[in-house]
Amino acid sequence: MDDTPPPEPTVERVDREDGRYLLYFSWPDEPAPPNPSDPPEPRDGDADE
Amino acid sequence: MSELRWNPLTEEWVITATHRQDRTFLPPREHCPLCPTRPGGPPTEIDRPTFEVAVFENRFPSLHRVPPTPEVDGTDLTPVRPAAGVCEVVVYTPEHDATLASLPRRQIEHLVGTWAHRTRELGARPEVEYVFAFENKGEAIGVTLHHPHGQIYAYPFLPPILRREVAAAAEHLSRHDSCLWCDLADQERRDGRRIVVETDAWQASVPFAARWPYEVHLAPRRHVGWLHELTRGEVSDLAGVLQRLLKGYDGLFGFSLPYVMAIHQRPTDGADHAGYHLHVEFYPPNRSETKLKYLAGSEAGAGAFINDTLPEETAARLREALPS
Repeated sequence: MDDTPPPEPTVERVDREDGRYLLYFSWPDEPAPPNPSDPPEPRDGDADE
Repeated sequence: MSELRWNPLTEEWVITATHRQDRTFLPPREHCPLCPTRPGGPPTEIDRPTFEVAVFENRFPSLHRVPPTPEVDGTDLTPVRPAAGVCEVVVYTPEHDATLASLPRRQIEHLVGTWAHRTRELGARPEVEYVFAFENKGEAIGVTLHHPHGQIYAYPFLPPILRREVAAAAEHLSRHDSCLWCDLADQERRDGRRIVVETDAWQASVPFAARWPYEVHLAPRRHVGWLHELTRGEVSDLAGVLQRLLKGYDGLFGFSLPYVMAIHQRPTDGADHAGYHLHVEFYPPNRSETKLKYLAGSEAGAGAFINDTLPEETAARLREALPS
């Protein structure tokens, strides 16, 4: 379990003419963490179903 | 117009918001206001061709950053307050036909990050006592737009259900010197019959006294009060659990199941709520493939829920419906 804080988003604010705001959230490109619920990659020699 | 009116009989604020009668109602997909604006097409709420997650102030808010003057005068018995606060819409993805269940896991992590960011920022506003992120999904729940989205209400008061939970948490902490949700989670784990999904960091179960047939509560194992206290590993795990649980919901009856998703965090009123534990609640309205649970006489008139199912049985059905 990764105990570090999650990456902070970049937030770009657009102020509309009607006085409302719009926020666009984006995150730095980064490799996806390993997903324990994903099935393991087949090993060499495993038969296809 | 919009204002807060106090009901002294139930001791709760009611928000009037008459302008919401005119809000956009189930537009055809080519006029979806949450899709990115297409070249040559009518402007939507989203002014760029794509985005990761977008948040904007609701065009038809119940609560206002600059609230209007109330329409009526209050009395000592029935006070009236301006409807101060913020109502935001969170657009999960540019994809009109997606659902939270169908989003890639990384996108769900980003959504959690968005909710956490908005909770911190809106909760820091002096008038805001509670930040509530939620999703209404499906026409059975009353959604007016199909594009995958949720909402955030930043209230100037502690809403009734949260007020009761906060009081119960404080009482339990004072009596037992422990967290009510942590103790309930331990009990559920020992029993096992109502557990739906378990991971290293999260546990989802049908509550012992569920009000809705397929109600599920999802909580982190670690005692935290807000989404922004979660670690990267806990956020990633939460995204995986949400994906799995919501796909299980969709597999239950073979269609995309409507639900209300309610994220319960600690209040932002400045008081100490150390006993309160972050969790997410889901209330699907279906009690079977074709029948809905309605809030009828006992529920609406007396506040006493009647559940036509057994939580132990609905939890077993949900476990069977989870993707393998």
